[in-house]
Amino acid sequence: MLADFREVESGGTLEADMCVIGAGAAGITIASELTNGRQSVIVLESGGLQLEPEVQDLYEGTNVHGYFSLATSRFRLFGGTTYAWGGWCAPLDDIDFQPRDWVPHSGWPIRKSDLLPYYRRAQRYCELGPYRYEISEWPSVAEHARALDPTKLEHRMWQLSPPTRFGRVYAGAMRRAANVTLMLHATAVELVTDDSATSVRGVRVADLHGREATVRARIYVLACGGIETTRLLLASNRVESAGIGNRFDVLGRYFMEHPHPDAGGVLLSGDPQALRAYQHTEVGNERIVVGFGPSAQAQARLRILNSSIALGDASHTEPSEAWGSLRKLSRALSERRWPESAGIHVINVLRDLDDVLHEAYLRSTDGEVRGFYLTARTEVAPDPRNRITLDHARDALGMNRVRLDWRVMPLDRVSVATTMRLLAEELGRLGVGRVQVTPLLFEEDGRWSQNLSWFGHHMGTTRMSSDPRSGVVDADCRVHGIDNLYVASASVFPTAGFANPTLTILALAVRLADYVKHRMQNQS
Amino acid sequence: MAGSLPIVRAATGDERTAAVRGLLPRDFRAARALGERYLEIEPAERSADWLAGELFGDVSLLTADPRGLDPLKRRIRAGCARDFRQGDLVLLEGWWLARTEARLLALCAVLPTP
Repeated sequence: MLADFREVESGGTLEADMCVIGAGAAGITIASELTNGRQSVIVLESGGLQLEPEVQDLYEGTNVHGYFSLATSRFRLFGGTTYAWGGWCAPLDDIDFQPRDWVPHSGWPIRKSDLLPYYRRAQRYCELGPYRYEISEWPSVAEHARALDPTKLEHRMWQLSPPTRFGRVYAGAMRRAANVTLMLHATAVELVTDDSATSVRGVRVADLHGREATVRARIYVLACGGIETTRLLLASNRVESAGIGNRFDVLGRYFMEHPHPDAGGVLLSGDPQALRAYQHTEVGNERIVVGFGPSAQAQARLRILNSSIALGDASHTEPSEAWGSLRKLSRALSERRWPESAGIHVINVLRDLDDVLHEAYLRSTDGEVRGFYLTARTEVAPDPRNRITLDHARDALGMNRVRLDWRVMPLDRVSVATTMRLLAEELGRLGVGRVQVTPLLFEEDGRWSQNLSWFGHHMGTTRMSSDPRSGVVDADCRVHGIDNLYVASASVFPTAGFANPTLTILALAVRLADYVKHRMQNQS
Repeated sequence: MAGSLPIVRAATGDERTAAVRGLLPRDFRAARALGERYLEIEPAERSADWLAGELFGDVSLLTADPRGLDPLKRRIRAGCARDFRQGDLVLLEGWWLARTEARLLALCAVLPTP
């Protein structure tokens, strides 16, 4: 059922078997998994059914080195950031779960095979067909794919969600669920623990009109994203002064995002259909994208991070920096986000106006395709210096705002540059064409960072580890040292892989739902 | 470096240039510019004879007759394929090129302008 905190009597207490904080993709998935069960569930959502500026303002914070805005890279309403989701789904690779000696702090306490059954179940939440992420599972596409040297490159695959706007698609189910209460406009401002900080006793909830209440449950799940989850744990410092789950100063550290550089382009040698398998493809009712990435062998041999390269728009002239900028600006408009570097892109367009006009003219007259732009998406190296802390400034509810201090690292850039070289080797060997790389891939990191697009993939600040000295949650996503507090968010990712995080978030959420359901059944 | 080669001696400067142009991309000026960039990276290779030897080996005739270029084109293509397979690439003005094609551009740059 749907409820609104603005209609709840202030000062009261709400009770349920389980409290889920946050109604984005993860929170909605967990609630859906528990729907029609015997346990009562309350889901706290800070926003409403529509975006509200004064609620969205609670996301304001400081991103020390720029890159992206904390207020516009995530959305605070029912459905969360799926409000502006692109819909790209892919699982993490086997290698992403493994410790790699060339990637400090890498390795998960679970394997991909542990997550595989949950990946399969997560598909339906994104309105996808069956789990098929091997190109051989799509014969009509595979027949046009190139035979890559497995010591260098592998195919990458995404299945594209419509994209599912969770707030719209799952509102009806939430209304009908007898055992689930979705409480809108209810912002969790503090987790209250017992005196030994080993168990959560309640959640203090507030709204923008001065109303307060407490929610009590047996199990608590934090599902408020890669930044807000950590903010709430840090801000809950009444008993543990450094925050809940932070006895070893790990909470908030190892922040990660996926930099998306426009990596360059490929100029075709002859056959304009040579890369047809790598363009957005519809197969029946499903949409897929095939790209390229360094094989596990290549990653180990070259000591680089995982990454992917996908074809972007078709080019009718040689790829130009100005056209890349224009694409970024138009993409930002369509996705309701302005890149922090918008001004630079405008300058690039103005500086190179002739090229842009020429390209635009050829596009409008359907000229011959000479190549494609290439967009990369790279893993970043987990680094404890990249971290979220609480700022002195406070929001309208009195919570400390967040301060994000992180920067892209040399290995992130080098990994993309090296993968582009592998792609050049392979497309040259196969007679497909020649690869051009953006000069920024060879610049120092500060300048490179201006060439990046960001898509709200906030990961890593409550990382998973079996050792509380190196992680905030254990392999079951339970906060170390707290017996009834769990996290369902990309914040538990120890490493990021190249894959867009949503499918993995949902797989972990389904797995966690199974776990807590089983635990609550045993307790009762 | 290799010594002088009969294939280069066999033709006049203009004939050599015209023949090499048959192997090159359509934009000759751009090709020469890229060739100059390569020679800035590899200054020791600034020799028409040496570059021709590396590129064409023992092919005994370089002529402006387009039909005579086919064996050379096959050899260049094979050299490029080998370079891409072995990862012997050169980065010129943002383009990853096979070393063989970079040397062809360099040869273009050191030959007389028509």
